[in-house]
Amino acid sequence: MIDIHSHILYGIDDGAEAIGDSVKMAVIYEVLGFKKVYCSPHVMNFYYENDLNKVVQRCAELQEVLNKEKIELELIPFAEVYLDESVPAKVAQKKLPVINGKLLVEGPLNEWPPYLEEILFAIKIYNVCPIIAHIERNRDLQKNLAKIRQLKEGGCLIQGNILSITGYYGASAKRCFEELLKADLYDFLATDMHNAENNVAMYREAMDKAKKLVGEQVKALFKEV
Amino acid sequence: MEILDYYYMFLRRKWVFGLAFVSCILIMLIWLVNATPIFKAEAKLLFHGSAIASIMNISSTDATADISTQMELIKTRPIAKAVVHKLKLVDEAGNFWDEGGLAGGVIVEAVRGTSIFMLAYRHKNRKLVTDIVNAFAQVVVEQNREVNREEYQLAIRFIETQIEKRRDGFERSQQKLLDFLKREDSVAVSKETEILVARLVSFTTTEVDLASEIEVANAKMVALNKKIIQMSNINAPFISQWKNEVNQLNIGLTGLNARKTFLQNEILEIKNEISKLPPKELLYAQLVSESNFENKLLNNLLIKLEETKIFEAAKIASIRIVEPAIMPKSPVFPNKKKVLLLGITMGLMAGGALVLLLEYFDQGLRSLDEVKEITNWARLGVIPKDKDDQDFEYLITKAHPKSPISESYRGLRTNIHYTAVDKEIKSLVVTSSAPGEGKTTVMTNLAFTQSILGKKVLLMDVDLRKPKTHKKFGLKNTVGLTSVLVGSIDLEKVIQETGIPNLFVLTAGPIPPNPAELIESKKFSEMLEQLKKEFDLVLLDSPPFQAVTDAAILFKKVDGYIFVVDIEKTTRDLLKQTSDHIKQMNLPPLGYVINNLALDKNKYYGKTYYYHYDYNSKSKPKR
Repeated sequence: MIDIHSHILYGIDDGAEAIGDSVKMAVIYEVLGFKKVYCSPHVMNFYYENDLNKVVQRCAELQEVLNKEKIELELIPFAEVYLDESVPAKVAQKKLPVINGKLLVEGPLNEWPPYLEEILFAIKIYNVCPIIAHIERNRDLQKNLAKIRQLKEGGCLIQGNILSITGYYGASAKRCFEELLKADLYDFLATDMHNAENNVAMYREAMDKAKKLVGEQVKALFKEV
Repeated sequence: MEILDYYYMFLRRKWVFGLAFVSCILIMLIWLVNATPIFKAEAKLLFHGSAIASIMNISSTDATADISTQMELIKTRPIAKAVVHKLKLVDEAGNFWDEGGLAGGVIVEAVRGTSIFMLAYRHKNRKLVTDIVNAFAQVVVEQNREVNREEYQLAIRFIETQIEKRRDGFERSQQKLLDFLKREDSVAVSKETEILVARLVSFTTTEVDLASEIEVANAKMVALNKKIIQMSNINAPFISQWKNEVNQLNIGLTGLNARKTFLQNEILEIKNEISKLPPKELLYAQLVSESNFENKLLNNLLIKLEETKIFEAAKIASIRIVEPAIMPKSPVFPNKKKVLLLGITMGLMAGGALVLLLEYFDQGLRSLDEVKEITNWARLGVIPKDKDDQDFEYLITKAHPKSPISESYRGLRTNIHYTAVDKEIKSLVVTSSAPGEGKTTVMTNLAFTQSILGKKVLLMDVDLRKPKTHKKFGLKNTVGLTSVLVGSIDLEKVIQETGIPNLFVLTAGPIPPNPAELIESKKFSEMLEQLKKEFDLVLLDSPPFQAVTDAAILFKKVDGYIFVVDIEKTTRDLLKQTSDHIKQMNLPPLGYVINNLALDKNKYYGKTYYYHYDYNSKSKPKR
């Protein structure tokens, strides 16, 4: 299995704080059977000033440590980009990690303001396909499946957080996640792992619930970008 | 208004409603505690017919009327007076109670369909009220006994006169028989004649008894029929019982009449046989039977006299106390349940009325949508209420970058960026209708949020009347914008650093006597153009729109302006005035920002926009 959304890189966002946390998380991945993790720290102006260079560098550092520790996990530099008016320019300047023409993005959780469409459009102009992270957590979209379909038809991909199925992000997110999963609308599932507190048992429980809902093919959604 | 609107209206004013409700209940409770409790004692009395009717073996013609009479009698002054004296009821001044008042307070109620009636009285003293009711009952019974005794005495006198009359008849018939026996020395009365005479006497006396029995039965039937007719309209359950009785009586009467006819025939036959006797024997037989008949009648009267005398001596009353009054446990007034119910009803009504009234007079904004409806401007953002915003130099976007409030400012920034698609906004006025809506707070946070994108931002305080931007950054305002405008100092020298990269401040400077003129001046426009070349964005803090003309003048000189609307402070009237005024100017704003939205979900709501938060503003969001 492959995880495309992870805050495993230490010290550059609200994910792992120190290298020890990153290693613990790597062990969790190994136990869960993941072979490859896309390291996707937040990119948000001023608050998380991460760019391609920084992520690549931190990724290499961690990979080295994992290799020493004999943890078999392949790390790929990626990012979770907060959508604001600066994003299109950064995409144009190739400052963000785009893999296979795809970029992981997130909007505000409480609403889906109209300007997001403009930013998404501006990204697509540069032939980059946005993957909307944990779409089931957005308060406006939770209630609006039609809007989600519309976004997909408009050329966006959507990613879900596997823990949503356990109610970790609230009842509304859980409901939305299940609906999207049953309707086979998710392009990707991921862990969005922030720290080692989200332990193996929680992910196993979430996986079991997802399998119960749609069967073994749920594993196939943890796939390459 | 929809039902949901009412729901939110009440939810919004739940404290007012609750207060009114609780007050009403409290008032009722206080009243309940302070009200003098009134107790009611009750006794049950049974009335069983008038004395004379029962003695004379005749059924009363109208029992209901008798009960009603008795009941009315209880409420008379003489009875009340007897009670007053019996209990020695005196007021504080030592005077006896007014018997009229006491008589008027007595409650007498018939228990329908029975001969029982209720005697009751209400008073604040539970011991006294019990004594009064019992005294009433006793006095009533005593009085009734007295009345009955008088009735018995009357009856005795009547029976005695009857006896006198009958005694005469009897003695006369005795005399006649004696005279006859004297005249005829020996009367050879055959055995047959004696038997005949004996039979005649027996039959005639029986006939007298029968006649009186028939009379009684007839009287009973008449009385019953009268009652049935009287009560027929209320369809009382005992009517059928009465009808049954009438039927029984009818059957009985038929039997009695048959016996009477039989006896009369027998008597005729005997008399016929007697008439065939020789004249002497015939006369003898007649005299004997007459004497025996008179004797029988006299004896009947004497028995009745003895019975009546016994009743009189026994002082039998026709009213009996079935159940004396016992001391009441709880007062009848005030009724706790009723008072509580009244309190709840009044509370609900008062609360509801108060809420509706407040709503009617409230000029406050009820929903986010209302701003849109009134102004028809675009909503650029919603800034939640910041409970910690007390310190002047506090910038939430800097202090708590991950809070939802900071995220709202980022949303506002991005929205402004995408609202002006035609031209780049390089100068922007932040204003509001009234003072204190949060212009400076919104402007400084917006400026900071812009600066972190790497834009060079200048905050320019054009509120030349009450400048305060400098306070936000702890800067001095000895020289500033006005200094430059009057030409006392160069522009470069008054632009101050804030300690935040990319963020600069031009303070207002000394307060001039003519702010509007300065803002309208050509020099101001030139200065602004120059600043736009040096900075990526110039944010201008202006005085409130409704207070002075300064803001309106500024609008014409900048690329765009936004209104801050404090959802708690702005009134609908004010917003309407502003909106109308702007419409006339034909220079619409980029939009408005809602400020101070309470995180309490119920306070404001919108049909299309519902603001909500999972977490408190300062907690670390999960991303």
